[in-house]
Amino acid sequence: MGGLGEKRPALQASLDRLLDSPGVTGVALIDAVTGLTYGAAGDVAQAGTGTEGADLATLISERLGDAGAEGELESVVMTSRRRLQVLLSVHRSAGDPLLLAAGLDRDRANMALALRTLGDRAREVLA
Amino acid sequence: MKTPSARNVPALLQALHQEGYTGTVRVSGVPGGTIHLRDGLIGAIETPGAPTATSALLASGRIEDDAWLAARAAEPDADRLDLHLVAAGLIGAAELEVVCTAAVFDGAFAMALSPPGGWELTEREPTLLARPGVEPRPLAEETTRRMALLTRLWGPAGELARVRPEPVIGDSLRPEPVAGGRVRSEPGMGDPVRSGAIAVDRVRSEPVIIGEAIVGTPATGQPAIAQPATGRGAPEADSDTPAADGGHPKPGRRGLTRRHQDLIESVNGRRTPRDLAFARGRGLYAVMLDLIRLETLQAVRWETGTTFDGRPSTAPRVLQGQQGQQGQQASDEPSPRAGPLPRRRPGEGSPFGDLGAKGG
Repeated sequence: MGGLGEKRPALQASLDRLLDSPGVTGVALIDAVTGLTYGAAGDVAQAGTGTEGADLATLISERLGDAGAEGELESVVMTSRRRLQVLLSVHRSAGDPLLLAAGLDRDRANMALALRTLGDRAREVLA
Repeated sequence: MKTPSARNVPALLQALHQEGYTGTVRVSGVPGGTIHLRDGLIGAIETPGAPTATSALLASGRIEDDAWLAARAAEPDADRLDLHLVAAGLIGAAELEVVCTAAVFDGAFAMALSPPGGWELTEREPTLLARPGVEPRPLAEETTRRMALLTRLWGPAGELARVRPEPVIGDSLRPEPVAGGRVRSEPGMGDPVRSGAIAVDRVRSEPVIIGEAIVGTPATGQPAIAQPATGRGAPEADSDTPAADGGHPKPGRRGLTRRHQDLIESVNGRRTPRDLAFARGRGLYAVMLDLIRLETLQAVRWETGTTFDGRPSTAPRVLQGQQGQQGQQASDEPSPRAGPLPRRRPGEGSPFGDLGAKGG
């Protein structure tokens, strides 16, 4: 893992590695409360803006809570004919929640596999 | 020390960025603050108006006090403290970047709540830094966006910073959204619940189809009409919404995240958003957003226009050993430096002087 003393910051290195996942075209780490984007890699437009991602996750999380869903939202997947857009909660032991936003090329990504891979690797983003 | 002439602090920071300045900008005013630059990038902002990265790490319990003190002893140069924290395994490098960067943006927001006074440039002062740092332009743009958003959601941000929320006592569950309530929407966001989407609630490991403003959940099997959102909430990783709490009268809890519940437990009618931010180790802006949301849900309330000092509280704070889980007690306890109350003694009259009408 890249240390802070290296030229490439650790967060940027973590996000760059996510681009190795099949079909992933862009990723961003965003603050789920403020919408601030802490870092991005690849085609940033494919991942979406921080404020929009945070708003969307907030809206869905609240509606699920209203409807009686237990636990917290873990992910949101939006699909179109050619693309996937995913929001994944990034676990933190303390601090406000984070979201990993990812855009995927549907022709190159199996949705179920991509979700699982990104979910696993989202845990490593903050390492 | 060369002091560039600039019309305001953002212009000053931009000029310093272009010349790759390393040093400190001290901004006077209320709350004022100290801006640390390294090679033209903003590495840290320290202001009484918002928690620093250090405050956030300690008050949130992300790093224990003892471990922090040991790290400071092992690495006296604060500019290199981040390297030591990571090397010691106290926090991941990327997570530390997130915490420090968030503190920079939050500090800038806090300083923007009131007009700054003057400024002066001084030598580099070691401090815990965001790496590689933040450029002045996106910092100014984000600060402007935050101020505008708060104004749209609630009203003047400076006024919101002075409120002292208190919990709404009672067993009120989450109210129905108020008709005509303020709608949280960013340009270009559109109406996401109408766009057709799949939300995967992995707690149940089943997909939930969202479309045409209907949200269904496997937990209840009952659809809920999606209403416009006001304010923000956010998903959290591993906290379940508690059920009824034994009948104790508490603010409405349904649908609230653990973060919201923690904030409700911290409000007491005396703390400002800044006090709450320090107590919880969270950003001031994030706390203000959550308070707006909780007010909309009628979980907290406050009165406006009753403050007498005309500015957010900015008294210096000292991190206490018990801060963290017990941090919310900090601002409630009497100052240990406060002396005893004056006593009246027989034959000595009032300790405050003879203000009353005394004959003779």
